[in-house]
Amino acid sequence: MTSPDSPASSPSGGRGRVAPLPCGRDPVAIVDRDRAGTSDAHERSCPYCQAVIAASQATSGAAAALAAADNLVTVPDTLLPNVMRTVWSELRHSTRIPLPSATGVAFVTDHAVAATVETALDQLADLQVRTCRITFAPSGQPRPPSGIETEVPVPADILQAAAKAVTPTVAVSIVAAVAYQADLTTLADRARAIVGATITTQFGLHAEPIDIDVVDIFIPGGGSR
Amino acid sequence: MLVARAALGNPRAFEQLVRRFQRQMYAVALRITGRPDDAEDAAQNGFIAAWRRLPDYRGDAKFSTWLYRIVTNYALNQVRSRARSDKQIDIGTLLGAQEPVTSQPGPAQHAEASALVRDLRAALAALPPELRVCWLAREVDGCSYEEVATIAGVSFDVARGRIFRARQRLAEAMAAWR
Repeated sequence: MTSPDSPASSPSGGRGRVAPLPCGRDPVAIVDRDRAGTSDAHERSCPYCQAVIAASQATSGAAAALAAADNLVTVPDTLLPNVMRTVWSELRHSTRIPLPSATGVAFVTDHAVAATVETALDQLADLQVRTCRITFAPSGQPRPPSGIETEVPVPADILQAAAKAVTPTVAVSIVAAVAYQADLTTLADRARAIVGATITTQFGLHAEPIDIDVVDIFIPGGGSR
Repeated sequence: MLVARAALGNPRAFEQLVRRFQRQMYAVALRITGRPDDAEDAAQNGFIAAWRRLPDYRGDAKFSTWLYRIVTNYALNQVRSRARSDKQIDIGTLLGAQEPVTSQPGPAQHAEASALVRDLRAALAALPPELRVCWLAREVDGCSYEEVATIAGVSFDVARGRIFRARQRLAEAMAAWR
């Protein structure tokens, strides 16, 4: 009896294997070949093989109809909000960062800052952020607002105001993939400029240092190398 | 990239994943449970479980397959729980599950397609849940045998065997349509 379904032809074998038909063929493989249009002469004439093929064809049309019906399924409006309500309530390892404010206390989480940075960096087609971590060190060195140089003589009242308005500093650590043949130095400089400007503009924070680790290369329009 | 961000606890990235997969996962759960309320519970619990387990996701399987497996397990739990309380799936509800509503085929074709889907749902409801899951993943969602095995949490051979047995049983139940 001819059989193309030797154990080496598929990973099947051992416990749970589908019993071969009386003609020796693997019934699952027969269906696969029928659907691929590669049935051989035996399978086109053998009554055992034909019975398996007929059973498969009887259900495959119904499966297609079911798939078409499911394309029109309406997802309940409550599904997404219910999931996200739980997600937000369980937000892990969130660090609150105080925002500079003259009139009251406001905080932002490190996750919110990281998400904003990731979104801002999406404008760089040659860079894909894999992860972005924001670290806030409350005991770190405060930094005067930009534009105030401590080496030059400044009136005491201005220095006093500057001391009050110290800008909280966050460290940014980005892990990214870059496009094949991209100029890494220029790209990193542009990325740092965007990150720094975004964090200052959006949150009034200062970003330093801004570390960028390139861990992968991708081909634009393709996959990773 | 979205998956990596979500795994680090970025809720916005996870929200995008939910938006992307909610239709597919709800449909999977609906096919297994046959009840919209159970399907919503299974999909919701599946997504929340995925959020909690994401830090441990290693990418051994495609994210969609990994998620499919989680939702499937919750859907099977719903079916088992329902079976204990109702003795069997509510066939009436199952038959009333959302049918295709499209203006493209003619009335006769539409009626026939609806009847075919209704009979298939009834035949599926009579299958053991483990066979149902494997057949749906393979025949409706086009998963490979390896993916079916991952989703069902069984070996490659067992997955193939379940698909085969499900085909045979469904063909018998759907004999009138041959």
